[in-house]
Amino acid sequence: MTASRDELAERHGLLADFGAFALRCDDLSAVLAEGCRIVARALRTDVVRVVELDAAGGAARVRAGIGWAADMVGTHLDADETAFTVRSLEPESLAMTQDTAPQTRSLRARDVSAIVGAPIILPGGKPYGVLQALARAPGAFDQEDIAFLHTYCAVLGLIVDRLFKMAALERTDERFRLVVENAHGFAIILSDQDDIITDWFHGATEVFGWSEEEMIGRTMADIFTPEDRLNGIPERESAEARANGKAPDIRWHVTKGGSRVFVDGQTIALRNPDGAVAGFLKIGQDLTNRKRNEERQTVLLAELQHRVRNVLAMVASVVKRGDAAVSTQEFRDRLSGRIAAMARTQALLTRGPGVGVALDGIIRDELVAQDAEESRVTVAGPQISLSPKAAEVLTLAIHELATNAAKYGALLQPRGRITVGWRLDRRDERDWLALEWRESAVENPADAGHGRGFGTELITRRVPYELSGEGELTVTADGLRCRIAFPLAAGDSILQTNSPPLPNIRETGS
Amino acid sequence: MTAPSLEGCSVLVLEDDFYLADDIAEALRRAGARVLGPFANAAGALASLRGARPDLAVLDVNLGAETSIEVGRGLRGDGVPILFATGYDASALPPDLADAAYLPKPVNMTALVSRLRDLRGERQTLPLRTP
Repeated sequence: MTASRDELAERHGLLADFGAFALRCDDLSAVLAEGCRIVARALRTDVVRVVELDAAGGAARVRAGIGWAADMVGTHLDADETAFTVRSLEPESLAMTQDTAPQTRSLRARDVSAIVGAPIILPGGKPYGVLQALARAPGAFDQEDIAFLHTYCAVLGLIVDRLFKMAALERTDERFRLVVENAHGFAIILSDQDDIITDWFHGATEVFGWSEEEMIGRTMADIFTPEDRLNGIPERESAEARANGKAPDIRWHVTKGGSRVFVDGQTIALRNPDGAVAGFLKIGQDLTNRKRNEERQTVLLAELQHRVRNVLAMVASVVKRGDAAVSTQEFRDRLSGRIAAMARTQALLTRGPGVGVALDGIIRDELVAQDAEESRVTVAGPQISLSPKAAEVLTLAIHELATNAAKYGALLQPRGRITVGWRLDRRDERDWLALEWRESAVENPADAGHGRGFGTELITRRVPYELSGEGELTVTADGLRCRIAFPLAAGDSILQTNSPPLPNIRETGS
Repeated sequence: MTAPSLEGCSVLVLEDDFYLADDIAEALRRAGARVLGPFANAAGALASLRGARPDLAVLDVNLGAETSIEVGRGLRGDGVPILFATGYDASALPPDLADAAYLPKPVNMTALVSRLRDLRGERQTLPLRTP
């Protein structure tokens, strides 16, 4: 039947309404359903459906429909209907040019006597599917109806394409957000062409401390250190990114809390299709720990170099200053003993950085090295940990005393005894260690002057010089008395074990 | 090295290692110099400098808990030639002292006396610092 002017006007109105609707709606199902309703009204039928075809053209799925087609949404057409539908994609196919009494059994079962369809083609020529109008009365659709369907499907193709692109964009957006939100430890920041921050993702908050709200609108320079800002580093970086596409950003930055963070990253210039810079992407990793470890390693290495040089110099001195007026054998024995004592000290000092040496341990180790009988020796004093310098000097001093005791003194003679004691003295606002080594029940103590040159010099000259203290060695009526005293330096410490802040002097018995 | 080549010279020695300080002092005395010190720390050296200005100075850069850099600056400012003894590279010295004479460690005593003898000739008779 020929459409009247009113009908034409109505169709134009329906198309316009549909256009308005589609612009507001982002839901493909809703748009297609509305499309079916509009076509049904325009063509005066009850059943309209949109059949979506898969890429291979092998399966046809009802994507939207009204009338009994509404119940079919989501289901696939059978083989016959699919073939029929696919054929309607071909230009000049019968399904497009006139309504056809369908030969398919499923449609006959629905009492369908007339069916017309038009392909929905996406920009680029890719077919999306077919929109079909179905009726019970044969010859229900005429040429004008078919023409309307064509027009309508052309518009629909554009609308469907737009919705696909929007959905794809949302998925991409979502994937991007997932990637960026989950890139822990990575700061990802976007800024505009003036380097004002436009996006500040979660990783950036982890690295720098500021939240998104705090940073959007601020200039990228705000994350740089004051020195870098003074030297124009942020500007230099964006200029380099502009010129070369990207610029490295491997430096210390500031955080909200005021501390510094070492970032290894880069700034990348983002360009429009016309080549103009649209903004910048800054991505960087927090490598503060690694950087600090590197710095610490450098320090430790320097300390190691220093210690090695030092130790060799010490050994050279000990060799040079060993008493020469003795037999070669004795010279070698003495030297070996001294080097062994120094090696014990170094082993303790190199356990770790800033480690000290326990005083009572030094004394016990030297007595053990001389195989001293426990019954002859008393060692008593508070727990004290000595700094490396004090440990080195005192170890050698104790070594000399112990060696001489074993060769001539209290450890050699049958009734000889050694008493080693120490305490803390307060002098001029400083804590001094006062140590005494006393040998008693020694016969002919004056004879023990032999071979004391190195040890005497150590106690009476080196201790005062290097430890800013006092050293005294006296031969007594029944043996020997050595007194050493020096202020405890910053590196020395009184070991506190479960005691209050004031030093709690504990006597340690042997 | 037998001829006393530092005769009549006073030399300040700042070195925290006792044996090395002793060796340096001994070598200087044998060369005819009068030794101020040796001192193990900057405080000792500065106390001595309040009393008298030496003709020369031998300074160990690394004094354990401190360095001799400040003492060196002060001496230079007073026109006293200084000789640094250091276990590190010369590049470890700060820029204003980078041109100072230095001896690497371990110190060779002959070289020490020889360098001091050279420096003696460059000695300033007036202080460089304006009061």
